[in-house]
Order: sequence, then C-alpha cells, then structure tokens
Amino acid sequence: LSKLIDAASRRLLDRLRLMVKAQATAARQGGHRSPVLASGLEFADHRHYVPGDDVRRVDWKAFARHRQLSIRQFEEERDARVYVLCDLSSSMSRGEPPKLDLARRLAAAFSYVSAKQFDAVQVVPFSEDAGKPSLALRHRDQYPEIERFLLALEEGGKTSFPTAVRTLATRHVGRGLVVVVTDLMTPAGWSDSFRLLGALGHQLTVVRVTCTEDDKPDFRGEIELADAESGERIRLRMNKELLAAYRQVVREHVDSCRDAVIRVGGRFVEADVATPDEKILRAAIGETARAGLR
Amino acid sequence: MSFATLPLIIVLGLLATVLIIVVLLYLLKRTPKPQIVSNVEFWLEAVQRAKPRFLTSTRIPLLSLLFTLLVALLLASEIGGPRFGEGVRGTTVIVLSADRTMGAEEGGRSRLDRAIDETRRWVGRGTGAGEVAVVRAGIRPSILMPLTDDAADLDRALEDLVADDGPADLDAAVAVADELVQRRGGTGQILLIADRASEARPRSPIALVPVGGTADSIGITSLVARRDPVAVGEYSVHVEVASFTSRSARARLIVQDRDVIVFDQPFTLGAQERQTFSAQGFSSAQGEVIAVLDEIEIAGSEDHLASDDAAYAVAAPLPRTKVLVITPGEPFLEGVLGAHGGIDVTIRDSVAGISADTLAEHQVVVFDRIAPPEGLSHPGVLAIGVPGSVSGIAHGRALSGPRITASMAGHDALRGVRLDSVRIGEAWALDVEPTDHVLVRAGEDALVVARENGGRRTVALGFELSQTDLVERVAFPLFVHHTVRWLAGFHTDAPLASVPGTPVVVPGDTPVLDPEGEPLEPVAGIVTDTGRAGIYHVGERAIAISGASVAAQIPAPAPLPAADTVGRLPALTVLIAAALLLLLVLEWILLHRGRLA
Repeated sequence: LSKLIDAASRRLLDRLRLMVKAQATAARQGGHRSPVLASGLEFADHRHYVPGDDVRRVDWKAFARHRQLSIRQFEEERDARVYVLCDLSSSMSRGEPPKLDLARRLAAAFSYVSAKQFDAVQVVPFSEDAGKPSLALRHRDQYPEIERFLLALEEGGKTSFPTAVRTLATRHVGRGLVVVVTDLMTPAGWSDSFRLLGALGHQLTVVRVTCTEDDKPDFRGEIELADAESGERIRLRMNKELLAAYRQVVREHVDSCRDAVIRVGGRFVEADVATPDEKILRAAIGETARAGLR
Repeated sequence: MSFATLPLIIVLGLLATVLIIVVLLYLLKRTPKPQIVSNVEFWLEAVQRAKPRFLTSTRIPLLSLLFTLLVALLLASEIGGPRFGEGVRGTTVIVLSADRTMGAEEGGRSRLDRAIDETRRWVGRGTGAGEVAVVRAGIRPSILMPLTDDAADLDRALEDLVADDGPADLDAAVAVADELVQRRGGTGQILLIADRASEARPRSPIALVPVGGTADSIGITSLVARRDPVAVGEYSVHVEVASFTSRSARARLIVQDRDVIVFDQPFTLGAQERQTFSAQGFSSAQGEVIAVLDEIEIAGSEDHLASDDAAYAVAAPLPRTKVLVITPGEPFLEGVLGAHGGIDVTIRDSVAGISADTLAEHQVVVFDRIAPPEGLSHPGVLAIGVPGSVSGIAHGRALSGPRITASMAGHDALRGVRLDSVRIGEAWALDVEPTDHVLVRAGEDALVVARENGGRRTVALGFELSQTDLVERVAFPLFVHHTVRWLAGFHTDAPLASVPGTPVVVPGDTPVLDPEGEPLEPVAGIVTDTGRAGIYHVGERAIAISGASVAAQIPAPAPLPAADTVGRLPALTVLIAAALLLLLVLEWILLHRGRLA
C-alpha cells in the first residue's frame, strides 16, 4: 500500500511511460535510445570504413555487394537518469491542501514510473540548496524507499533554485531528465537555472504546483502579509487594482519561467492543489511522454 | 447639559477624550488581519504597479480619520450647546403661543397642534444641549414646563393644552422667558413659536418659529345686551359681525337667551364687510345671551377660526331698589317711581318717626320739599326743592324763571337725558363746591347738583316739581330712574362682557362655575382662570366672558427676515449623522470598488 499513490493513480501510472530524449540518456545501457551509434542491438546505418575502426564491425556482406568497406552502426540503448527536484521551501506549506502534499505525490509518481521502466531515479529536495538526495532507484520494488524518503521531508527555508541547480550539477554529472516540482514563488533565478539545466544536457520538466492563494488571492480590507519563507511583513489595504496587479505580476513571472523551460526544450505543467490527482498526473507525465517522443 | 456651564479646562479635557476615543477606534478599525503568503515580493511589485491608484485608496483611511474626527468634534459641539446657524447655546426657553388665533385650523390641524409639534422638536434638540423650559403665552403667561433636561417632561406639560379665547400677551411671556434665561447665567436663547412676532426686546437672543398660513374667517365682533330704559324688563341685543377675508361669505346669526332663540337670521357679508343686527329680548331676571354664527360658507375657502363664531353677553337683572319718598304729596314723582318694576317705593308725608334704622332700610331717600331730620344722614339722597341745606348743599339766592343754559347729560345720574328745554318757574341757585357736578345750569347758577363725597351721593334740585314742566316730559321718568340708580350705587345697567382672562372677584365663599358648569376655585377671592369664553356664574350672578371685542383678522405669518426666524433645517445631529452615513458609504464604495457588482 502506498500513502502517496492511491490505487487509481497507480493504475494510471502503470499505463504511462516516461519518455526521455536520447541526448539525455546515461552511458549505461538501459531502455532508452542513445545518440551514440555503437554496439547496440538495433541497426542504425552504414558508414565508410576509416582506418582505426574496429574491423569486427565491418559489414562484409555489404562489401560483397558494393566492394566498399563499410561499417555497420547500431544504436545503443541506455538507461535514463531521472532527477526529481522537489521544492521544500516554506512557501510549499501554503495552500489547501498544502502544495507540498501535491509535490510529494508528484515526486512519488515520477519516481514510480521511472523505477517501473528501470531508470535510475533520485529525489533531490531543495530549498535554499539542494538537500540530501534519495537513493538512486532502478526497480519498482524499490519504490517504497522513495515514498519513505518523501514522507520524511519537511518544508522549511527560503527558495534558492540557482544554488540547488549548481549543487545538482556538481553532484550528478550525468545527464538525465530533471523534473522540478515547485511553486516558482520566488521572483528571481528560475530562468537562468532552467537554461543552465538545458545547457548541461538535461531534459527538463517543470511542474508548477499552485494554489488559489498564489494565483488568485481574494483578500479584502486591511491585511498584514507575512512572507512564509522570510517572515517579512507588509501592511496593505486590498483593492481591486492591487489584486489585479498582483495577479499580473505572478502571471508574468510564471510565463517567463514557462518560456525559459520551453526554450531549452522542456515541458512546463501547472498543477493546482485543488485539481484531482489523476488529471494532474496525466498532464504532467503524459506531457512528458509526448515531449520525449519528439 | 451645556458646555457653556463647564470650565474651559473640562471642556478641553472632554474634547481630548473624544479625540482619543476616535483615534483608538480608528486604529482598531485599521488593525490589519494577518495573512501568510508564499512570497511578499510579488505583492511589493504589485504595489509598485498599482501605485497611482493604490495611493488614493491608502489615503482614504486618513481622510476618513480626519472626517471622523471632524464629525466627532461637531457632535460634541452639538451636544455642548452651540446652535446650528444661531451661534447661541445653553438654556433654551420656548415660548408657546396659546393666542386665540392659534385655534385656527388649517388642513385639519390647528396652529396650536403644529406649534406643539414644533415645541416637541425643539425640546428634543434643546434638552440634548442644555436645559429647556416652555412658557405658555396665553392671556397671562405661565410656565408650562420648568427648566429641565428631560424631554419626557414635555408630554406631561402638554396634556390638555388648548388655546385661550383671548389675545395672548406675547410680550409678557417673552419677558418671563428672558428672566428664565438670565437666571441661568444669560447664556441661552428664546424661541417664540407663534403665528405672530413679539414686540418685546429681551436681553436674550430671540427667534421666531412661525406657524400657520393664510386663514379666512368671519366672526362676531360685538355683542351687547342692554336693558331697555323705557320698557322695563326688556332688553335689546346688538350684534356686529365682520368678515376677515377678501372673499364673500354667508352665514346664519342665531341669538339665544339660554334656550330661547330671540333672533335667527341668515346674512351675507362682502369682503372685509361689517354688519350689525339688533333684537329684542325679555327677561325680568338676568339674561344670558349667546350669539352664534352657524352655516358659515366662505366662497372658495372655509372658516378657519371657530372661537370667534360665538359671543356671550349678560343682560343685567333688574335691580331691586328700595326708595323712601318723604313728600307732602307729588303724584308725578310717586307715579314715576311706582311705574318702575325694579323700584320698591315707600312714601311718607313727613319725617316724623323716621329713624336711622328706617333710613338704613332704604337705598335711596327722596326728600320732596321736606328737609331731612336733624342728625340723620343717608348715602343716597335726592332732594327736590328742599329749603335750607341737604347734605351740605344749600340754597342760595332765589331765581325767577331761570333759563337752563347747560346740562351734563354724560353724568351717570342723567345718562343721556338732556334737560335743556325744560322750563322752570321759581327756583333757588344751589351753592356748589369745586368737587360738585352741576347737572343743570342756568348761566352761572346751579339748578341741579350731584355731589359724591366719602361714598355718599346726593342729587339736589333747586326747584320744586310744581315749578317745572319736567314732570310732563318723557325725560322725567328717565331722569328719576337714572338718578335713583346712581344714588343707589349702580353705575350701569348693561355691563359689557369682559374679555377672556379678566379676573372675576368672588365675594366670600360664593361658588364659581365655569361655562361648562365645572366649579372653579378662587385664589384669594379672585378667579383668574377665565381664558375660556362663555357665561360664568358667581353664585346667582352671571358674568359674560366673550372674545367678541378682540376678534380681528387672523394673522398669517409671512416669511420673516432671516434674523427673526429660526432655520427650518433639520437638527444638526441629523445632518451630521447623514453626512457620516454618506461618508461611510463612499469609503466602502471606493475601497471595495468593483466588488459591488
């Protein structure tokens, strides 16, 4: 029994497949096609022989037909690294239910699907920096370990995604699919970090976990706003203009993040805490699958 | 309550307290609701973007605070006494007119009703800022409600309040009100709620709250019931009706003596026209005459005032006068005295046996050619051709055929009887003193003299009745009757009705009944509660109290100069409350703009 994935979600996840772009696969053989034409089992193409090539890969049958030495090239199938970056900043505690609950379920879902297809998946919590990651899992039977890890996570601290990305790049040199589950509720640092992840060869999927309070607050009257992460307080009298301006600011921020993700070939999905899990999973993972097919 | 009575330091302290309370309430109102958000930086950015309009809204609470402070100060000031547009404060004394014209009904309500409404309104306002008293301006001013700060006292004071049937003494009432204000330190104002202004110039500020509008009326302006000097027992009634409107009117005049109708006649009056009517009545006793206007129709209008549609008069009863005639024999004199129904005559032919007691039994003693007995005197003596001296009036030189050159017809002993053409044979000139009234004069000689000295009255004729043709004239019985009545102490036999409010003197414990038959309690032998017109009874004597003589045009309070009229604006408290409500609505709309839809 899973505390994060119910039976309906599991049935759905069993039908989904997490697709990873070829350039994001790891050196190790696995279930994903690699951009390296090497010693795989699936034929890819011929090329002219050049001195130094392994003579074992010369296609003698082709030489018999064409009298030219050519080398048979095979696609190498490699497994994919999946890094699920889960935002643990204090802002994730907001929302009803809290955004972190949905983030845990999403991280669990990505991990489950990845493990199901023998990809090495690691959950990397982050707030002010990347935290201690979970063990890299490669099999579905190991999923409960991920779930225990996720349930043990507690929110706290500020969001510093650039720091987390730098730490990730330092710790994990292998390319892979980076799934960022966050609320994006920090104004700065996201776009550059997404570009950096793209530049590092990672395939990027960003799932923005949101709630009404973040996107469409309905505050009235005199209110003292307290920052969930920094504790900073400001006193405002709400009115229609201010609320509209806030929504516009948030929307522009989210759109800029979306653009940055898309520019690096990633996918961007928004998931509201009030939306049913099945719909969110279908959108998040399903979208990822389609992206991987391109 | 009034701030005017408080020391300045306390007033300032109260104002400071009010301000502190308002600011605290404002701060309480502005205490924000805490709200945790994911990140306030987005809100700060939003504030920057919404700044131009957002600043407007952030300043509104400050403006609201200022307005609230202003409203609080105004309320405190209002409670403290200053009057809106008047600039006065403190004690308010309301002079409520109970003039006869306040009974005029317009639109189904009398002016007095409207004045009472105004009184309630002003008492309500005044008691919030200080003490209020109400002075009833009737025929005599009276304090209807003493100084109080409890508006509920007014209800008790206004119970059964009606207008008098006579003219109100507004000036006296204003003087009373002024005295009340001055006794409270002089800080205050007088509000005169009436249909006319007062000529009084009190020391306190006075303002008129006018009530009433244009009113039409016809009324009885005079009613006189006078005994017929010739027809003993009969009386004549003279009624004058007048129109106090520019419209034509018609009505029916009914004159009754108790339940007996002695006159009933319809009539028509032109604009501002007067008419007189006369009627005859008979009553050996006193007549109680009531004249009423009925079936009044005024073209295009109506009769607004009912109190002038009735008038009252009393035909004096025939007085019983006991007269002792001492005469050797005078048939004319005896006949004239005997013919009068109100005179009881006793005739003696000499003074023998006449004692002081005998004289005291009679009100008038007539000495005809017989001198009074020595040492006896009487307060009413008619001396006809008595030789020597009577009551100090002595015979002077003898006159032969004196020609009457003047007679004092206006004297009460003659009452209009002129004796100018009377011829006289032999006579004596009477010696007169400076205080005597010479009723009939022949050149420098006095032929008939009336003397009134120390309550004693004497009329002396310097001739015998056999020496004159007076006895053959119609004037003779009138002369004798009038003279006897004057000597008996009666000044008039047709007392005019008194105006409402006239005090009635009550002898001893004589019961007094008002027109409705309710007993009245005299105070020190005087009944002053005679504001209602009608027939009052003091024992057996009837007294008419009638407003006919004061009936006049109903005043229509025209728009008065602003200085004399209190603003008819609602109470300042109401204005402030309305402004506050409007302010709150505006604030709400501005701060929550867009959410109303």
